[in-house]
Amino acid sequence: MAFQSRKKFCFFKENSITEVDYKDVKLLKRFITDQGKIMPRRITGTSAKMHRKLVRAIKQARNIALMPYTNISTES
Amino acid sequence: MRYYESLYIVNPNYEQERLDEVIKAVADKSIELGFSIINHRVWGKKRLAYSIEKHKYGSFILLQFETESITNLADFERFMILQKTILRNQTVTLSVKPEVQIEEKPVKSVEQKETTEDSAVVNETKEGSKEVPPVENEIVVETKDASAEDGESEEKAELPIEEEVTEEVTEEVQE
Repeated sequence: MAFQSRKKFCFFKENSITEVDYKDVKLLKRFITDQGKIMPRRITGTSAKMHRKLVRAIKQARNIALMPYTNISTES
Repeated sequence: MRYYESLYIVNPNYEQERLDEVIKAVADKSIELGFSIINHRVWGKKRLAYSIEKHKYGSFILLQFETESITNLADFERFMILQKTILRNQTVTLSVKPEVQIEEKPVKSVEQKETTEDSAVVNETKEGSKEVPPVENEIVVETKDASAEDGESEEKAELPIEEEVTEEVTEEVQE
């Protein structure tokens, strides 16, 4: 049995979202890894236009401490 | 006109009065710089993704305004950075005019009133419940009294008979 790759789709296009708000952390968390890295669009399937907006929003959220730069804990 | 949004984090340990002072200071400065404020509200106390100045939590305050001059924005940024009470701030441009959000304070006050009314009702019920037992006690007392009275009356009713009997016995003895 050969594995069938799931067809990728743009999340924003499917949900008709045109602007990405940096305060919407719940949405942004879908597009980062457990480590806190921004997932590439070859994995998420977002369109280039929305990916640029998404990256900007994630970086703004990181700056204002709504999202982590990294999830690797150094406090312990 | 261009629209901007400034989100800043205030020390979470501040009480409401001190927080209001910080908000007022920022509002005064923004008015001084010629900004027209659209929204200025407390977003809430949130946990920070990473600690800033050893603070794990922060009070987020959102300021949305419109202005034409870009030079004043630099002054505003400078002012925000120099404030010791503000842990961090970020100003971003908005593509669309933000909607004016009505403050929910009256609703909260109504809720508080409702809660106070509810608490008053609860207190009343509590008082009522408190009042009820004495009534029951009174009833009990009354019943006790009634029973006592009944018993006394019965005793009183019985006593004459006994007296009569004793009188008859004494008369027989005398005979």
